[in-house]
Amino acid sequence: MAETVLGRAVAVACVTAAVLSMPAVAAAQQQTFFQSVAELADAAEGIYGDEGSHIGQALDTMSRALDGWDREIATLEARVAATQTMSARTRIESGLTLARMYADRGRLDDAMRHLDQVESLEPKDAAVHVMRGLLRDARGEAAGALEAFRQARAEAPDDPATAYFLWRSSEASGNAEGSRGARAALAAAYGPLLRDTRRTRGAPFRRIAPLEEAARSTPLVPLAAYHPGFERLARGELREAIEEFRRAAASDPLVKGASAQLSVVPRATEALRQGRLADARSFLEQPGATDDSSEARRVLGLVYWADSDFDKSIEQLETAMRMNPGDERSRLALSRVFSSAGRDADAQRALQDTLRVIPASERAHWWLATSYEHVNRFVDARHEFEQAASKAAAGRSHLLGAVGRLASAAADVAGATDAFSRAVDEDPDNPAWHRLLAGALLFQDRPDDALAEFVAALIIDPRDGDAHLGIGQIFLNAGRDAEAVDALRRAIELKTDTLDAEYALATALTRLGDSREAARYFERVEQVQRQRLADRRRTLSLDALREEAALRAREGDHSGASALWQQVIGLDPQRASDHVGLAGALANAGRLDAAIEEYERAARLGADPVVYRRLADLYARAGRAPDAARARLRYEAALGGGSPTR
Amino acid sequence: MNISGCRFVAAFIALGIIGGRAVYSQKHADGTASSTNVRFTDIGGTAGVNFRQINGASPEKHLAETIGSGGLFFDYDNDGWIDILLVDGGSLADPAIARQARHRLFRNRGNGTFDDVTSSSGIRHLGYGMGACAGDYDNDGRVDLYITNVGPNTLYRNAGGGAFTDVTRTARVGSPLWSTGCAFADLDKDGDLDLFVANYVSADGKHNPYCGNARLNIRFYCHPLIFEPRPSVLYRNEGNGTFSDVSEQSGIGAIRGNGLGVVIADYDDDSWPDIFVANDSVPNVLLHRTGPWRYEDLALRAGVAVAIDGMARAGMGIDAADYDGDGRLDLVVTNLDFEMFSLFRGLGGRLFTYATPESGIGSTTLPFVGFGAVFFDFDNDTVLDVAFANGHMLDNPAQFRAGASHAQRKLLFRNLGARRFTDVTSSAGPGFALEKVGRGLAAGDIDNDGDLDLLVTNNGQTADLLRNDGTSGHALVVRLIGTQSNRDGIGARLRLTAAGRTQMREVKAGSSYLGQNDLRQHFGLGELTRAERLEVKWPSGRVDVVEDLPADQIVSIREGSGIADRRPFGK
Repeated sequence: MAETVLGRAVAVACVTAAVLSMPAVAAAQQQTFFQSVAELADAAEGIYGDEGSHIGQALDTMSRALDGWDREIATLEARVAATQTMSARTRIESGLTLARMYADRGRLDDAMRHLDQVESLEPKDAAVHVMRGLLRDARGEAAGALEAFRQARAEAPDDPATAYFLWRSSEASGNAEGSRGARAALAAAYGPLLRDTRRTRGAPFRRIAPLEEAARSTPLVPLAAYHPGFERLARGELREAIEEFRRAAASDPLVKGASAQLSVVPRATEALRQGRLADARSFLEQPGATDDSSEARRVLGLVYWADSDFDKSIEQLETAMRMNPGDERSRLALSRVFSSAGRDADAQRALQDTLRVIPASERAHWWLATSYEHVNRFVDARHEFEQAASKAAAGRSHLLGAVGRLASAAADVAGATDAFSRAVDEDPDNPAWHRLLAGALLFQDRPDDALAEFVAALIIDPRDGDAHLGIGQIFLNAGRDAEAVDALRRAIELKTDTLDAEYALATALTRLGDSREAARYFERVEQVQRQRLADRRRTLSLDALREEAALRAREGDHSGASALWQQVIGLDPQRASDHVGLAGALANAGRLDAAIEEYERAARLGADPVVYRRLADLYARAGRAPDAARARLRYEAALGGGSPTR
Repeated sequence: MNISGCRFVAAFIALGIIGGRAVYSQKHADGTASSTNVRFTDIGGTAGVNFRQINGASPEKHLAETIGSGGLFFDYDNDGWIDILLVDGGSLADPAIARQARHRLFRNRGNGTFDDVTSSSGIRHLGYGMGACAGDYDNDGRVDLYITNVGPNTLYRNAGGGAFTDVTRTARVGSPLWSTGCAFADLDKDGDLDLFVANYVSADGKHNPYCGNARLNIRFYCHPLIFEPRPSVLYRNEGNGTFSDVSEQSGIGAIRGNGLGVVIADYDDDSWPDIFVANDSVPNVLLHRTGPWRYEDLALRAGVAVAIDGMARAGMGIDAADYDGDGRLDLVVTNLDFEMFSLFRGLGGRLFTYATPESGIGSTTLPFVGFGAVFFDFDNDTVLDVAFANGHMLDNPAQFRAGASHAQRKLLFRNLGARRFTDVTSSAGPGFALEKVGRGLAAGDIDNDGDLDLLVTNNGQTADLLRNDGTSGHALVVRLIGTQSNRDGIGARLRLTAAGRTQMREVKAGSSYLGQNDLRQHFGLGELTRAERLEVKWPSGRVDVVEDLPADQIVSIREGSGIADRRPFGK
């Protein structure tokens, strides 16, 4: 390229563009890497029993993606070095980009070193200080993080996100004065947020935790054997993580079984995937098919489970466990089968046994938590959720949210606050955690802190109607009625369910003397209240009838049960499970044709696929073999592609 | 009441907002801010108040079994010592058990111990007893009694000599519905007491659906929303021993709610009594007088119908008083666990604000199912404290939440001033440590020693009589004798000024939960030994003023005449 000013400018532009566009390439490698992690975790579940090869594939993809990622970083390092002759702004931006990449890659020391260089160019760039604060946080350096956020705040006093970083950091460090100042800044930030009608949801508080991106919606609680690999991942030791995963896979019966090429199991799992349960059973019920393989026993247990043959499923899974006591999958599956069979106590016992034999089974803690919660053992559930949260690879916020919910259920407001606060720490860009934390803070009589958390939710998404509502209600109770009106009007614009906002607004308007408009909102509130009350009455009455029908059935009074189910259906004819209930009662009362009719009706209303199995049984009992066969096929078709074992 | 789990209610605090009138901080002579030197001791058994409520608990779980019963303080024999009535329940499932139920009248011997005089009183148990209220409806100088039931209620006229006569039929006040809270008040200012009766739901034993979990094989008491709500009843005293049912005419008959606690007080200072009803799982009701025997429900607009989220709570007990000393009535309503008890602070202009969390009461009450509620100055430090009687609705709550209990302890909150309370239950003595299935709660001075004692009724258990020991503060107790106004001065508003500060009380006949407090008005004076001024605004409109009242006595004020009697406290 000609050494002209234009040429140099173009060269700079190209490099700049290359530098700034480079992250997209590296980002793709990063995404591929973590996507493979998710695929590994998914495959390791072993739901069908044929995922062994998928684990190997995922590991290979991870290796390739990591290599590619590192290459991209190295390339970017070289490119960044080449920017030394460019403008400070370009060098700052490219430096920040590289620091971010280092951080995502787990190379925190490199990221910090690079930030130092960037800061030397521009000590007043708030983004630099924010990133430094996040890095310090990630390294557990609370004092350093606080100082960094303080500097960020000083450089960007109009950015509410810096106020939030500073506030949380001050709180964590016990810096009361800093906390108060930052919190006041957040409160002052509400006005502009209220008027912000254009910005959509963002991620202003992003942590340095790339694995979290892959686990946005559910916790990532790996099986015990793979946990060391995930621990490495969490520490940013990605290459070491792959090695740990490979070591785990080498002794994983799911993988070994695949490599051992037991011909029967793959055919059975293929049939299971396609919902051909009869075929799956027949493959594995052949003499000798499962004699020497705990994995084959486990798969057969899964097949029986899918076929709702719980007793046989339990038998096979228990046998698999005896053959391989360390088989976590069989143990976990056993607990699920017990749950499916309505044997909650046995399910819990199975999970407790799992923990006794495999103390590192975080999955068992998690499932035990949900099982306890299902039977209202909230204290025990909370304890187990805490255990699971402490070791989850990602998505801890959801488990902590469960802890918070259960703490609330125990009226442990301090515990709820603590749990939701930790959830915010884990997933600070989820406005729901900020709102829940705000709610808990209000219970603790800490409205200023609550206001700050509601503002944080709005920094993420200024269209968060519930956050505007929460702020409006804080204002209302503080006697700031005019401000309350503004906030509540905005809440009403944004929310779908507006009863609470309209009531609060009506109250505020009344206090301001605008009785006419207040009356309009009060009327609407009364209307909604009446409707909800009527709905609630109906629901409670129907639920009482349903329970009584179930009770009569348990007592053997099937005619009585049938009559009650008919009453329920007369009031609410569109609920599939009610038709299933009636069908069951009719069948037990010997009224097969009527029962069949009800099961068919239930199926049309979208009942669980098991209804086809029951239809098949009834048709068979009624001597209608072809119909029975058709029902059986419908059952298997309904299962195909979606095993009940998932 | 509902059995739902946790619900995050947005709860709010006044950020240091000070109202138009003086809000003060108090130094507390008794104990530190978070504790108290006052001890409450249950003397029920030793004092002769031996009563165990028969709730008729059955496998069928009739709702009535868990609702009652109440009790009250009243001086039926005019000897200056308050007596006790305890309402018994009965049984909807077993007639043999039902026959065992008996209301009990306990006469104060004049020293805070009691004799059971039921058998000679003429008070009989009918139906399934719920609550009671007391007032001299015929102005003959003897306080009468109204007992609410599942089934027809009963009006007992006090005939004197310890005898009561059932005059329900002639008086025409035997509402056949399931009645709960009741209150006497002179609603038309004609000098006699009218009667308001809250009615609950249609669950009278004939229709009792199965509510439970068939899978877990447990049955529980049904949610009240499964049943039909009932309208309350308003009776106008015709002055001739009879009443007229003016429910329809007044507009009250059109309002259907699951009524439980009732309190009548003038919340908007327009000199006309208003009626608050705590409704169970539906919005509370505030019946504001719009004209002669015309009422309008203003609860929603006033801010007391629902909680801050616009949703109803399980309102059970209710009391009204000026807890923050700003001269405006405030309200407290007890609710179910995880709802927090509701404290509504009066703002004037017929408005209230939901003040629960700012008050310090909120989160403490989360685990409790509250019933009786009483504002009272337990430590005589001049500010009104608050107590609650608690006990779960369900007799098997652990099935739904491990650790939840049927029996619960009572709560005592000390008023710190500046609109804040602190929980002093743990230091309030053995009486507050008792865990029982609390229902009614009434305050009164059983031993005339100048401090307020508490009567607690418990579902299916013995009643508690908690004697107040330990306070060293001064006090004044005022008994009113109406001449133009109703004999008991019900509805009168008193303002006592001491050291420049004014305390306000309103005489109420019926409040808390299914019961009633001592009609005499108690004022704690702390270290002060006299009050400069006592103003009594009678229901008739007349205002009497007494000046320079020494503390530590019970004074009787006769309308138009001033002090009719004085008795020093008997310490």
